[in-house]
Formats: sequence, structure tokens, C-alpha cells
Amino acid sequence: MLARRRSIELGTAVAVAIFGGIVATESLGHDIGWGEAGPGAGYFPFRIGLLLIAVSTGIFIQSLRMDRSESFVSATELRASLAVFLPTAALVALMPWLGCYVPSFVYLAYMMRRHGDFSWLRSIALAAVVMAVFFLVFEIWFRVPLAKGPIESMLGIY
Amino acid sequence: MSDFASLLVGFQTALSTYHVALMIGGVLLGILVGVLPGLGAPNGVSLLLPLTFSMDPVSAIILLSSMYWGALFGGSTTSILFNIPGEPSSVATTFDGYPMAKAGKPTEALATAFSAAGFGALVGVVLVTLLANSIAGIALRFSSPEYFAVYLLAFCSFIGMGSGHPLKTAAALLIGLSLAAVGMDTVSGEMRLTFGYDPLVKGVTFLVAVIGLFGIGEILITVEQGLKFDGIHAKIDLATVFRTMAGMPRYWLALVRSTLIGCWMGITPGGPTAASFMSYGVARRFSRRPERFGSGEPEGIISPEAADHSAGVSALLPMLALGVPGSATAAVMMGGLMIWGLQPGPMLFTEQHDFVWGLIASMYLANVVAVILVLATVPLFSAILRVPFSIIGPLIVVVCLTGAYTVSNSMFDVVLALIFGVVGYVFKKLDYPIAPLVLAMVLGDKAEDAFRQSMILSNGSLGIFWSTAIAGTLTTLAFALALWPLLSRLIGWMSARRVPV
Repeated sequence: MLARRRSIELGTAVAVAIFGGIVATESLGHDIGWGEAGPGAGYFPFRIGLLLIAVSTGIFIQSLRMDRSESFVSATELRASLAVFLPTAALVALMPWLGCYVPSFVYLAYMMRRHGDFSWLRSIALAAVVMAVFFLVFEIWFRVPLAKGPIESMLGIY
Repeated sequence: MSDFASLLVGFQTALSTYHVALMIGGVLLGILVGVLPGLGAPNGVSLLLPLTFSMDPVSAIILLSSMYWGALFGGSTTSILFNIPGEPSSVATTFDGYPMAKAGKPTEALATAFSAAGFGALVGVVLVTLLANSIAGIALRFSSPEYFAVYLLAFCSFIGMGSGHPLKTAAALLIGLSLAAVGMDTVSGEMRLTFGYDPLVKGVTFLVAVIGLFGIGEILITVEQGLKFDGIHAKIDLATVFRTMAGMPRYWLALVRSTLIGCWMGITPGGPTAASFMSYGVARRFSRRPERFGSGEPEGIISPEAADHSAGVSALLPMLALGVPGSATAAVMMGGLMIWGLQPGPMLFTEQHDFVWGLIASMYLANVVAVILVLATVPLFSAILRVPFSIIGPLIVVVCLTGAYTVSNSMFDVVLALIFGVVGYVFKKLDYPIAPLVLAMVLGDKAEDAFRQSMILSNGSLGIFWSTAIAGTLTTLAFALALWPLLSRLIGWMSARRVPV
């Protein structure tokens, strides 16, 4: 067991309370009472933020009584999720620079090769087919252009 | 015009070749997202929505709602053949569906599920047809206090009737309401919760939240469990299908009871998932042979399926008539209505007559289309599930991220989808319900507007929410539901003290 469920429950309750705190604090910058046109812009979010803090305190107290032996995630499980999450995060980080197509193509080819035991040739071919289908569906069929990067403009695709 | 005449006009709209083609396409796409774990009805509809921005609203809603029906059916297929619920609402179908299929009767199990589902869906549509106009008629007289009371009731019924932990449900609702407040305040024009960061000015789109929470979060959990699909091969032979369907009337009591549960849970926003679990539980409690539940009892398939589909269909009734969606998917569709420039709610029935009745008529046709297509495509879609998850998983991720981008051509949304994915992963593992969060995001601004307008009307007195009979009843009911978990615990504690053990 890598992480106890109880610890994550407590941590999440604290995170939710902090989120509520941010919402309530930011609302203080607006009118949290009665403004010129009825309740001010901060009226509703301020109270929502306070309620969130109250609710997460309740969750925190209830979680304190939880069984300590229950697991949230084991090392093997976490490794399996990270094997998907980290490449996905890299894909998200690259998309603003290189557009939608090229990073998605690299991501798909990598994942198939790494986790699907396909040969490089098959992985690349499959990823290319998928991206070609994307291009047809989005750009031509539904006329919704996806983001393109420097590589597409070099190839003359807009 | 009477409801029946309106419905006939609706059929004229729905029966055009283009719309029937959209139904077939929507149902097939829906079965696909329903079959694939990690993609479900809410994010399937979210992904398709940006592609409909340029379409005519009637055609767009027919496409999206057909996808919803397809997804409801597709989710059951994988539950029965693979013991993997393609949708959260078809979890209860695995309890008896998979054992029956494993015992060498996959066709019977599928045919039982689909006929029960089809029956539930049809009753749901009839209910929508009969009630929509009159509810909209009542709602036309609503002003802001009544509207706020309706929203409050929708939120509180999640706390009181949802299957989840009441405090966690409340937290999910409040997070959704906070996220809805991000961006420009509609009344004063002030920027709220943007922290001077420009991409936040337009607010956090619920579509991106749905894609992240349901899509990416689900994938992370799926890979963690190291999914291996060990499916049962099913060849559908028509003789068995018809024999099974002919045997359905024997279970009329289970069908009617489950459909009633489903319709109730769909109209009050309990949603299909809660409906299917509740219906399964009730069926087992009232069965003459409860010990056979879990080993392939037909009633154990009929009950969750009929409830699931009748809830899914009747969830559109409050969405159309009141502007309060009854399920997460209905919430996404309602967001779509607003994007197409339509105001969900009673005015829709007077101003967008063709739209409403076109949709209702299409619900009859699309559900019939769905039953036929889902039976015909069982071999095809179970073949898709045999494709290794190392191809399907990354593909779903790319579809989700691309979908997040197409919502408003913004890379910031792609980053947000990933963040929501992590939140979805943690929330799902800790049993924080996600549907209330989405509903609160969609309804947040409307609820706040209704609240502020009521306050102006009453000069700041909260008494306005009890000033009319309807508002007062709804508000009181809402508070009762919100406090129900506490009350029931108190009652349990008191009766435990009184009765000596």
C-alpha cells in the first residue's frame, strides 16, 4: 500500500476547504452585501465559499474515524496510472506549441509501441491513420479546424 | 393545438430522411461510447456538442439525444457480455446479466435487457408526451422565487435521494456552484474569481469539466485496474430473441414497478444510476426467490434496465419544461440548448413548438431504432472490445483532449480538462459524486440570478421563498430532503434506544 485512503480523504477535505477559502476571500473584493441593484456580486460566492469550508470540515471530522488499513492506491496501481498520465501531461504541454495533430500522433505511436507491444512500423502507421481520420472528420466533414503548429505550416496544411 | 396534434407535427419533422439518418448515426456513436469504458453518455454528448454549433437546433438535439439512447443501450451490452459496465448506470445489470450470459444464455440475457430497456424508454417518452405541456403550463406562471425553489429542490434532492455520501454530495454541488461563478458576473459585469487571468474571463465551461471528470478521470482508473476483457462470444439468433421477447409479459410486475421507479428518479434529478440500483434492490426485496438474484435471475436484469432507461428518457421532461435537467447527460444537452440560442424552460413550448415536438417525436423513433441497431451490432461492438486497451485507451485520451479544444478553440481548456481529469480520478476513488457537480455548474448562474431577483423583489427578505404556495412547498421540500440524511439517522438512533436489543 502506497497511500492510505484515510490520508487521501483528509487531504482532499483540506484541499476542498482551501478552495472554499479562496472562493470566499476573492468574493470579499466584491460587494458581499446589498449593492445598488440588490445583492452584490460577492453575495452568492461568499456564502458558497463559507458553506464549502463548513461541509469539508464535516468530511474531515468523519474521515478521522476511518479505518487506517484501507488502501487508496498501491505502487503497482499508481505505476499503471502514471504510465498513462505522464505521457498525457506531456501531450497537453506540447499542444500549445505544436498544435493538435503532431503531438497526438507522437503520443499515439509511443503508447502503442510502449504498452501495446506493436512494432514501431505498425504503431506509426496506426497513429497516422487515426490522425488522417481526425483531419477528415474535423476539418472537412464538420468544418471545425483544429490547432496547427509550425510543422503543418511547413507542409502547407492550414 | 392539442398534444396529439403537436406530436403528429413533430413526427413530420422527425421522419425526414436527414433526421432518420442522424438518429441512426447518433445511436451508433452512442452505442460506441456506451461500449467503451472511459467514454460514457455525458462526455460522449459533450464531445459531439461543439460539432453541432453550426447545425439547426432540431437536427442537433435529435443527433445528441439519439447518442444518449445509444449509450444507454451500449452500456448494457458490455455489462452482460464482459461483466464491465460501459456506463455507471449499467453497473446493476452486471449482477445478473453476466451470470446469465456465462451460463450459456447470452442471447437471452441481451434480449431480456434490451426489451426491458425498450419498454422503460417507451413509457418514459409517453410520460414526457403527456406531461410536458401541462408542466410547462404551470411553470409559465413561475417567477424568480419559484425558479430558485425549483433549483434548490434539484440540488437538495441529490443530497437526500442520491446514493452517495450526503456531505460529499454537498461538497460536489458547492464546488460546481463556485466554478459557475467564475468569470463575468451577469448582473454587475464585475470579474469574479479570475485573479486577473484572461482565459478565466469567459468562465469555466462545464463541457470541459465533463470531458475531464468523466473521460480522463475514468481512463486513469480503468488503466489502474489493468483491464483485461474476457468476453463471452454472442451470436444473436432471431428465434431466441423473439422467444425471449414473447416471454416478457410474464414479468409485467417487475417491468411496471421498475419503470415507475425510473420515471420518478428521472424527473426528480436522481438520475439513471441511482434509479437502476434502487430498482434492483427493490426487486430483490420483493422477490419470492431473492436467493436466485446474482446468479442470472431474469428479474435482476429487467429491473435495473427498465429503470435505467425510463430514468434516462424522463430526465428530459424537467429539462424541457422547467430548465432543470434530471441527469448529467440531460445537463449537458441543456447547456447545448443555451449555446444554440434557445432558453430551456416553459417558454420553449410556446416559442419553439417545432423544436420541442420534433425532439419528443424523435424519442419514440430513436428508441425503436436503438433496440434494432443494438441487437444487430452486438458482434461488431464486442469485436471492438477485443482490440487491446493500449490502443483504445490512448485513442480515447486524444479524442477527449481534442474535444476539449473544440469547445472554444482554446488550449487553456485542454489544460483544464487534464486538471479536471486528476480531480475526477481522486473524486471517483473517494466516492465524491460527479453528476451533482456538473448539474451545479450548468444551473449555477441561473440559480444565482433567480436568487438575486427574488431578493430584489422582497427587499432582502428570505420570506419570499414561502410567499406563494408553490414556492413554499418546493422550498420546504428542498430543506426536508437536504436534512433527510441527518433526520433518518436521528430517527434510527432514537428507535434503537427505545427497542432493547
